[in-house]
Amino acid sequence: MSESAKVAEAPAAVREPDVEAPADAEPRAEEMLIEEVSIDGMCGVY
Amino acid sequence: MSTKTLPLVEQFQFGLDAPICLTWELTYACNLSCRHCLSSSGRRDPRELTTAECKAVLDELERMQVFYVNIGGGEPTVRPDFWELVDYATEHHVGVKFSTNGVKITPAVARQLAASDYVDVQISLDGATAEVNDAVRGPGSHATALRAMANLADAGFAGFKISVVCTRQNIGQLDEFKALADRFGAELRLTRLRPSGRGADVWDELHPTAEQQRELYDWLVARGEQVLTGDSFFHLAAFGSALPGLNLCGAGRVVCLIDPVGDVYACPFAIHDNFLAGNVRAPGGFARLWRTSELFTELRQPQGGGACTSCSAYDACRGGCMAAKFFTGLPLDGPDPECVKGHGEQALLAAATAAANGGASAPRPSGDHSHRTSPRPRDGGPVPVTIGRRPPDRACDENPLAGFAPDGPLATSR
Repeated sequence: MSESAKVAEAPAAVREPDVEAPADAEPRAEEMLIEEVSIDGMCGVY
Repeated sequence: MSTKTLPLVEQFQFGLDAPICLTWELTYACNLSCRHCLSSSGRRDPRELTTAECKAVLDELERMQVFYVNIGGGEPTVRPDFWELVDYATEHHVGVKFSTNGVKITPAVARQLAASDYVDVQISLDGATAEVNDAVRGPGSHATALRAMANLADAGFAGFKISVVCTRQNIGQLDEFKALADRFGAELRLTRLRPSGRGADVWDELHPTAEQQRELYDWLVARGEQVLTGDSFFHLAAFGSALPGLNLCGAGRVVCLIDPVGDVYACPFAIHDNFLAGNVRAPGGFARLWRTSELFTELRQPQGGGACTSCSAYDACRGGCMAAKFFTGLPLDGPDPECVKGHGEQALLAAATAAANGGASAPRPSGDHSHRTSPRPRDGGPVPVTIGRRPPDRACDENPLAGFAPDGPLATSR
């Protein structure tokens, strides 16, 4: 049983706009993805 | 929207608030005397953590939100309080994965294990045949392991693990190991041999040849995530594409060891004062050591790759295994002794030449808990003779299986 990394996707960091954006404007955001790694945590024992 | 991908290993390099791979050797007592034992186990250490102290550590791990512990030894199941500690851990939201030679996995125990969602078991087996296995793990150990596997399978424990330490003698049996695992509905886990503990004495004899390293890599690549590796073969990534898992030495960052007397080391394969962070009995316990010890803080700093940084494969193997380098006398910022580019062989030759000319030789692992009757091939010096004999404090100090009969009362008394 390998363990999926507990952090698959970090919360998106959303910048607060300086002024209210128009209703139809796309939200300005930077999405931070952390690649998923399958970790076999059972190391260190024979 | 912009998207940026951050490699997870970059997060891990700076350490985490709690270890992902926490190995806990509960006891040095063992009914076997495996030639490659990474902790030189055999005899119980009288300073072993008590049941209450172990529970206090588990309380701490729960507070730290450690997901699970990897329990080993020695043979952990010979501790009289082993099942009590397993139950205590799972009741406190700390999952348990334990490694055993199978000696106490009776049908009744197997049924109880199969009923738990939070306990995983791995049975150690270092040869698909008794001939290969018992040469390393001792007479009868192959039969014991297979009996335990049959008991687990009969109890309906799907997906237990079969753990194989890869050696020169068993690389040719990889397909047989996989077939065995499939037969029992188990998963196969291959682990890299390290020159740690008694393994330092048999490293030259047992570690796979360069050709076998390639054979192993190709075999693992072909099977992908069908075979577990403990993420221990990242040095082989220098052959080409990375193997599944964490391709990074996690010592002190995501990995550490608590030994039977509560000493905390950066890595289970690095039992030496150079990698000792402190003891869980000290004020602040394990959490303080993990979060603030000088050793772990240092290991979480960016590490220089030394001569390896000029190698085209450095980004893949990252210099290999710290413990393998240390116990073969190689500098920690140099190549792994099994470097697939051949740099390890050159470095070993240089280290041997330096040692022959009066330089430092390879460090010895700390502590030897071997049975007094174990063969000691290392020094060839005088044989110690004991005159007179103080009886052991407890029968299991001398023989961890004292009072145990397979399928007898103790075997079913958990």
